[in-house]
Amino acid sequence: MVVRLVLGLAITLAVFAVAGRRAFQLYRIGRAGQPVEPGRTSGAGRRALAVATEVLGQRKLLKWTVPGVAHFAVFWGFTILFATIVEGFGALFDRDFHIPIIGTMTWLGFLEDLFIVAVLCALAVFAVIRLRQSPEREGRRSRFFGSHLGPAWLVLFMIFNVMWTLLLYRGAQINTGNFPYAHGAFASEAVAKVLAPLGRTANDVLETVGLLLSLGVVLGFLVLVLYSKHLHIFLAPLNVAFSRRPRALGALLPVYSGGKEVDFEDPGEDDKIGRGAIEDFTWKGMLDFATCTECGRCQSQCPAWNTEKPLSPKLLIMSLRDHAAAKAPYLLATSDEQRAALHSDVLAEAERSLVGPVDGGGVIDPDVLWSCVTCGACVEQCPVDIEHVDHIVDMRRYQVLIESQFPKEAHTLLRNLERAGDPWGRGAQARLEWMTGLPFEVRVLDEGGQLPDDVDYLLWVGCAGSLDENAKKTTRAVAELLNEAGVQFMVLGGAETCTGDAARRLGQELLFQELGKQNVETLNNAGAKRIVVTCAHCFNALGNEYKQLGGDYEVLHHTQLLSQLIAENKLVPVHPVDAAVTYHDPCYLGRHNRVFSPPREILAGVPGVRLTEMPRNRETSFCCGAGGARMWMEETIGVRINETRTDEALATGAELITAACPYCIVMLTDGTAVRKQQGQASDDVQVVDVSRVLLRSLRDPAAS
Amino acid sequence: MAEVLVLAERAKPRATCALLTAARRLGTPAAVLGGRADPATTALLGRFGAATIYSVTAPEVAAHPVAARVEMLVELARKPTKPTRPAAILIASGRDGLEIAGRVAVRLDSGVLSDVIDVAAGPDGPVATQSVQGGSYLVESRVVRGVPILVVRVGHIAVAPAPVTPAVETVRVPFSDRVRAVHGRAKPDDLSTAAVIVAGGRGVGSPQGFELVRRLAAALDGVAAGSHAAAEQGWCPRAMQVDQVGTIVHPSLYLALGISGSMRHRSGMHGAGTIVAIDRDPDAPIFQLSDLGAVGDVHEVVPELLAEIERRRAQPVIFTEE
Repeated sequence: MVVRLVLGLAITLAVFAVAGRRAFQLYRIGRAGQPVEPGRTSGAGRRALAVATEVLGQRKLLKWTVPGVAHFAVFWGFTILFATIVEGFGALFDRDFHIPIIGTMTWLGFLEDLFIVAVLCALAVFAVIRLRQSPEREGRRSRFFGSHLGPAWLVLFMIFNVMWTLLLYRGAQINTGNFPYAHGAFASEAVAKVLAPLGRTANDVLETVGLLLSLGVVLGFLVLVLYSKHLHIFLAPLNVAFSRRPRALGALLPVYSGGKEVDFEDPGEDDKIGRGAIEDFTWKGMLDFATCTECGRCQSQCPAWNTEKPLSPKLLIMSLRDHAAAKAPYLLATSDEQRAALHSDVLAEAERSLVGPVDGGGVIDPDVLWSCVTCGACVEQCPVDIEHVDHIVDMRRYQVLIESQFPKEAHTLLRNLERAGDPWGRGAQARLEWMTGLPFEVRVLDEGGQLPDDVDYLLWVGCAGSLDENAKKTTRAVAELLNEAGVQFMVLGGAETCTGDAARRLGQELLFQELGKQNVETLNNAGAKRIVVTCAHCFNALGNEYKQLGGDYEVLHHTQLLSQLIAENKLVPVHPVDAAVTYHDPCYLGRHNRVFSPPREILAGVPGVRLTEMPRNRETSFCCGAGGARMWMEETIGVRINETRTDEALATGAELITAACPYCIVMLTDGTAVRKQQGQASDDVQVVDVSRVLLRSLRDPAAS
Repeated sequence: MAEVLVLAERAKPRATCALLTAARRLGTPAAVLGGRADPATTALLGRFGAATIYSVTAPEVAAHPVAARVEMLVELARKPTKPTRPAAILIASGRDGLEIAGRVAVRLDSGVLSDVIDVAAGPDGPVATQSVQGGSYLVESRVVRGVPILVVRVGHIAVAPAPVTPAVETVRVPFSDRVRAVHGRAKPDDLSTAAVIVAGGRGVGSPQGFELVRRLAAALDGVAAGSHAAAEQGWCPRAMQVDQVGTIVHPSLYLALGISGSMRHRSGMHGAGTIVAIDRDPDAPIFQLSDLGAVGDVHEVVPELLAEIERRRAQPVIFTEE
């Protein structure tokens, strides 16, 4: 008994010393970042609920059924089997130890054994998944490409060790009569039967050996956890607790420095704009990097990664994590002498620029940073709620506002936005062109006027909606439909200026704020309360981001309003549109704002429409490639995102590819034009907005 | 009447005839021609009033065009075959013309007036009307030192014939070894500063079809370009792409062949002076933007256009009903 106590306590103390030191180091690295934004720690109720559903309920993991169920088993296994660790430590002191009150109840014994078996099964599942998805064989197609495979297998091996040593100990304990559970522990009883023939003495020895092994493996695992990606078992609940709610999608956060919002009209001298170095990230950012489990679910969904570009959200986060860890001694040194005394590797790491060509020592290559379309598929999938898009945009902000280093095609975009208020540089006057030829008069609000009381909605036309040929057709269709339904609406005409979404996604926060404030002033002066938009990006900016600039409006997407009008019988689709149709969920309507059903309801209401969903739809919709200001940049690396998505649409056999955002329509139209040219698509294939399908159904085709 | 030297260019018949028309108001035009005075050229120059044609046929004329023309004009101005010095020297405006005029002005220690859009004879010499400040002001000027050298914007002169029979004189001009042109490495045509651009789009159909674009560009002394559709298909390199994310161009003349005229393309070329569009689709947005449009297949229209350009190059047609 003394032997096991002394050895047990000795191992425990040694490990706690190492682990404690390491934990403190990690804590210090985390605190080396900036203070967080306000709101990061508020809303305890929502955060608690998130932890309950995502950590205890494993909600995001279960999006992928097989690995999800297996992980559910392992997570709950670890949690429930904490009871066995208590039992083990207790047994160091008292051979006969059992947990007070419940420690001999059959259900507990059963539960513990159930989870030991479940974990062993789950390990088998994980091993099979890793073998089938081996990056050596599958290359970039595997979500584990770039992950540290050796440590991952080691972790699985260690979990296996925890389980079998537990069974060994418990089996021997049954045979020596010290086992707390008389019934229920079916697996341990089976092991006991196997060990029984060895005799009492052997089982005595095996009991002690098993106990020490079991505790030793658990403690060894603790150290391994603190030095590997398995740290997520401690950090994930924290990361989930402090992540943006309901999710890190939709609106981007304003620029904060030192925990305070940066006032771009009068910025402080020491204000940090965006992220220019690893220590510019907040402790939440550091927590994000450290929590990454290298699972690769984000990577598997990323449109850039799936089209041969160098951007993988997983590899991005891992690079930042590794850089933070390597630079940590430099960041934590408190004096120049200390810094000078550091190892040359650390000093070299400190010299690396955060964003720069990788062959020049940069941590994140510019091609990686600028390939992002901000579609949010990574954030949607991440089981531990890492906020990839926020970090990418923050790095872009530094590159644009401080370094002025960004793809040169974007110069034209920014110049046009500054001078003319639209991305093409056509100017305010051109915004009225779409109205010509409509069978009714569109009401345009006078400059500086107030919306009359009889106006139900302000129709926000947007830049594409008034200047792009295809999008103008959508605007006209929506205007006709609203007119048909008797909805009173007005437009701002030339008083609209670009919502600034593209500028913000590019990282030009200053320009976004200028454009936004101008729009907010116009909208507030006009007394706008309810706005309907035809562009998913305008929808996101007006509805979610303008609150940050003093504009609070009820914003509807045109599909939401049209669907409502159909439900109220104000629009009755009569004529059949006999076509095979598919619907592409725009990222900024669907994933970012959870509007999935209304466009489908519209299509379902049109007789004759045969809707086939694409494999990647709704939350897992594959981006058209225009987001993240990439619409205004040239796509030179890999294959084209829009053509990839077009192929997916064409594969459904659709003659009509529908979407609900002008960017998506431009990109898919381009994609189909290329495929038609290459003879891979029939000339009959058309790309139209959902509203135009509805309009077709309202108009007698014989009459046109 | 005093002689007026006119720098004639065989490749630019209309410009030369305009200069001759203007020169007639100031004196007796004498054409200074680099190269042999063949019958067609002699007839053309004579039709517009060149009483004399000074022909210089040395190899330097072709090898070092600017420097050689400077020498020619200086030589003829200094040792004229007539008793008095020339009343004026007229040169067509352009990059070469301005350089020649400047160098001649220095060599002859004479005043030079550029951006001349009209000339008239005055009591103390030619009075030139200059268009300055991007056309905001018209200034009447007179050279007071040396031989007035006038660099004329020939587009502003209405040509009118006044036939004479020219006397052709072959002149030997000594070219020193200072008369040399420095030829740089062959640079790709600079799209962003080109004055004439011919761009091909999806309607061109194939890399072979894109040859039409190149040929038309060559025929018009312009630069070939492509829309993003053409660049993406690989028919032209990305450096030739004209659109919002490619090169933004400001030519005087832009021909869009088989280009629909999407917003992104328009952003790249909407500043062009004259836009000519050829496309199969009568509803193509490019026609809203173009000054002249032809609805048709590029592969039918462009060969016709090329043939017509050939015809006119062979027989320069100078319209005098202006």
